[in-house]
Amino acid sequence: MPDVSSRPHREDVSIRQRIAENPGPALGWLAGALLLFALEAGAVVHFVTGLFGSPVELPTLLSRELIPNNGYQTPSGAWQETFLGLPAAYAWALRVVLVYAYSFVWMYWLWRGYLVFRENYRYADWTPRDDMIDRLRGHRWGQFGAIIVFAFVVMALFAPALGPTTVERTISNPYSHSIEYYNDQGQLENITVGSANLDSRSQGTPQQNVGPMQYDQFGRFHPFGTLPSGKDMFTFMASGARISLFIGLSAIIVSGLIAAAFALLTAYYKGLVDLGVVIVGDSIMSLPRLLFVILLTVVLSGTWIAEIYSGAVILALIFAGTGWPFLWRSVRGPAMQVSEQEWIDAAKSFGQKPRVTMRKHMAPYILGYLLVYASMSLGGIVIAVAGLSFLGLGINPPTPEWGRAVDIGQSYVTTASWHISFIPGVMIVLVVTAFNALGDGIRDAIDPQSETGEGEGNEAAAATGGGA
Amino acid sequence: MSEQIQQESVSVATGETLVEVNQLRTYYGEGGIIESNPVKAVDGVDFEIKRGETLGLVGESGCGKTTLGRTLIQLEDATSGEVLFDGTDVTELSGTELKDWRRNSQMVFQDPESSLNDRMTVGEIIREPLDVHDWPTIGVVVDADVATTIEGNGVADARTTEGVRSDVTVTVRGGSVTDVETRDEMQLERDDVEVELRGDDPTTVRVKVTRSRDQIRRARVRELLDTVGLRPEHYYRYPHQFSGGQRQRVGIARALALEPEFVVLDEPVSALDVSVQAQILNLLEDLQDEFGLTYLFIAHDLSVVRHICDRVAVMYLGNVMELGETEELFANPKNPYTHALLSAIPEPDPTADRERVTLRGTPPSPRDPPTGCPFTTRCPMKIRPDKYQNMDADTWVAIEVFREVLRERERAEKSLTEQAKELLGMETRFSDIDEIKRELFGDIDLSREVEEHVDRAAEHVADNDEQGARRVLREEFGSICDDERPDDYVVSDTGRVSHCHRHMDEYTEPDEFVPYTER
Ligand code: SF4
Repeated sequence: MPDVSSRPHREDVSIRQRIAENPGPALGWLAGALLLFALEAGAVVHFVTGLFGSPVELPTLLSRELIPNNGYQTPSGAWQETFLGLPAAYAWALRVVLVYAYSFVWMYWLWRGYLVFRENYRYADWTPRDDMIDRLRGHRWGQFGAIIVFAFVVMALFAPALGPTTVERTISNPYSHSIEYYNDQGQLENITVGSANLDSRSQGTPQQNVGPMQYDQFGRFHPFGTLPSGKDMFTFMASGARISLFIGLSAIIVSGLIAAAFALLTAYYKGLVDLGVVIVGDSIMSLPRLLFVILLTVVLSGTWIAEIYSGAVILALIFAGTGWPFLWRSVRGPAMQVSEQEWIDAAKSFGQKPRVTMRKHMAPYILGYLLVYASMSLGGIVIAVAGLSFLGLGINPPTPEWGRAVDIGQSYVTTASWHISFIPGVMIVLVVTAFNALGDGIRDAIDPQSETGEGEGNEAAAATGGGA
Repeated sequence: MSEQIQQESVSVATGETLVEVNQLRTYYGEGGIIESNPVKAVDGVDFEIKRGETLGLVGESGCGKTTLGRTLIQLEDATSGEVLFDGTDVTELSGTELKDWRRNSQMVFQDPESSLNDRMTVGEIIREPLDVHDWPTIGVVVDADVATTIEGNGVADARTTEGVRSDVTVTVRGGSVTDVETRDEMQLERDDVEVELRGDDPTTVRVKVTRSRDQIRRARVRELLDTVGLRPEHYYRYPHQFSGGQRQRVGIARALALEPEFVVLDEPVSALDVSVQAQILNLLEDLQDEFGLTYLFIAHDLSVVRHICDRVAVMYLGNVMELGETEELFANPKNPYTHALLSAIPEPDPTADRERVTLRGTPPSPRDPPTGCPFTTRCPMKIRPDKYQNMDADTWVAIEVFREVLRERERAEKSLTEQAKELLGMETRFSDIDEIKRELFGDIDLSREVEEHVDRAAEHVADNDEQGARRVLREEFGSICDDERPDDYVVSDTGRVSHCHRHMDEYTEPDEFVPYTER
């Protein structure tokens, strides 16, 4: 007696076959994605080949070569060597706008991709994830956070293309590069960047200051003004965003992995395993974190690992090593809770392996919490790294770091050069707030019961962000 | 589908024992860092479950019935004793053996909200056991007129491999394949199986299944959905999209996926609406008939048990007090505890003149159960010492209550301030012994002898020596019920057993005895 009812579904097909049967939407999406990628393929090739030797140069849409903003103004007021002869500020602004537009289109395209999958290829007409996304869509505070975080990430990713000049030209090697300008006598003169910087310093007096959105006397545009050394601050900030994001993300990913692994293990096995991790975690948590971090930075400063990426790698590891107990503490509760669910027993009863049970039946339930606390602690790490630089520790100069800008500008706060401390200060606050807002948004998205809540979220931020 | 295979897939040789439990004990909280009494959740039970029957397990909450069920399917480790499953002691299994055995016994959980991982689709949930056991291993039987060996990927000889059924039957006559049959549960059709013969003596039968395991599993899940009354399209739905009853059906489908012989049903309908309960119970009964399942049905709802179970075990404080055929046990309970339990439910037939025994007090802590009969602290038919045989019922009950109060006091946690007060000789809520005495014995004329012992006990209590007080009372008023564990007595022709001293010849049988509280 063949079972008729199940026959129509007899041949379930894999996602690949599903796409093969109805390739239209997928191909359309893929074509768009490839087009988007092609625009920037040069940058990727450059980066990848750069890892193995001298980088290969290919024309790239959003490069400073294609839209140059470094030029000079003739006495008549016309601009030379900039993009289409636009004033340097406009050329630069155009590049920034294009970079953000491009990133935004990518975001949109990825979202489109998800929708295409959802509408054309997914079997389930509803999943719990859909509800979460819907809740996130209606969460204004979380969206505010997401937008700022997005802007920050784009700034970090496209740092070389965004700055009016490059780190290499203005910060690390200013005397090996030169610029042209019309001097007072109306002659085209060649001058090294280093010498030019000396004349574009921001020293607090109205005579010696290049503020935000100003040109210096060499026709260079400084969106955020210059540093006391005369170096362009926007370039400094963009490159600093990269390092902050790198430290923040790698520290949080490493500590998140440790925290998740321990939370799952302790919740699954309980008893002595739990006790052991509690003791280790609590010991680490009971140390005064900032002091401990400073101590480690100093102790490890001479070692080879402290040299990698100007000390960013070691900082990330230190933050991961001291930070995981906080994350672990915040997901231990949810992990314990989910370990009491009967579906865990059910998995045991048919002999599922503990590892798989933890991954399939427990991890998805703590992942949301982990994201929430991770995004909130990330702000804390950004502050802490800035705090260390402020104290003259952490990232080795001259590699740009936001905290160092705050430190450098400290004595000019009440002067014409207020922008040196103010801009990075505001940006740190903004980014940290944004990560917290995003965390709030995620929490409300995964947990329909929670209100746009204070309470635990802030506690977590206080606990982890209190580092600096 | 041939007659023979049909029979095999639902072969139920009733009467033969499937599960045998001997002196099983499951204690919690042993071997911790802090030395403390373990919780004796299951404290020495014996019974057996016959193939194809439904054994009910009833008792108040906390009596250990769920722990017993969980121990049977090895979700808890037994402390001692054995669980024989088809003759194998499963408490001794570990590793691959244990995993292999697990497909034989599954559980349907109480709470359909909590038993399904709601981040997975229903299809994934039901499929998981199949993935874990790398199902299917296709069992092949060759019916041939020559000697044969079987070969093929994912294929096993059903005659020699344990736990494999005859899923594909190949008939070979005169050197060629004359017939190929497939079993329905395997989701295979004739076209999906290719059979090839090689060599003469012995002939090698190569069986090749052209359908992928993935497809077979998915088809199996769809069939299971259909079996439990859901629709195959539900494969890609999430548990959120279902009602409690439907979710419980999903749980049942998951339990059945590996074709177990034995299923523990842990209060499978208690979390459901009354209107849905009957549907699920009917489904369970149908499935039992269809697949020849053996059930252990854990419940506290006695009417459900009466409806569905062939035999019932009544549990109290980790012990099975009475076990026998359902109808008989309900109609004519033998054990004093069963009496009490049954009289607590409203009689469907109002003309029945069963006395209503109300149970006083609460069960003792399973950390510290009585040494004698587990029911001794609350039993309304407890055997009295010889010299108090003729004591009037009120006095006896008052003494029993007095003993219970002392037991409770000893067990109650004393807060730090109370301990301090006690040390300082101040009044605490534990020191009102005179009041208790007055309340219990105030209206009763105590004989001199009784009064003397009560007073002595009260003095001990006044000195904060509850243990001493209890000892005094126990020595004077205790009986065999306090001192010795009762044996299991066979109390009817059908082999019903009851765990009570009253079945000994020298005492009145419980069903002839009028409880003290009724007098
Ligand atoms: S042994 Fe004694 S206490 Fe236990 S049930 Fe029988 S009569 Fe009651």
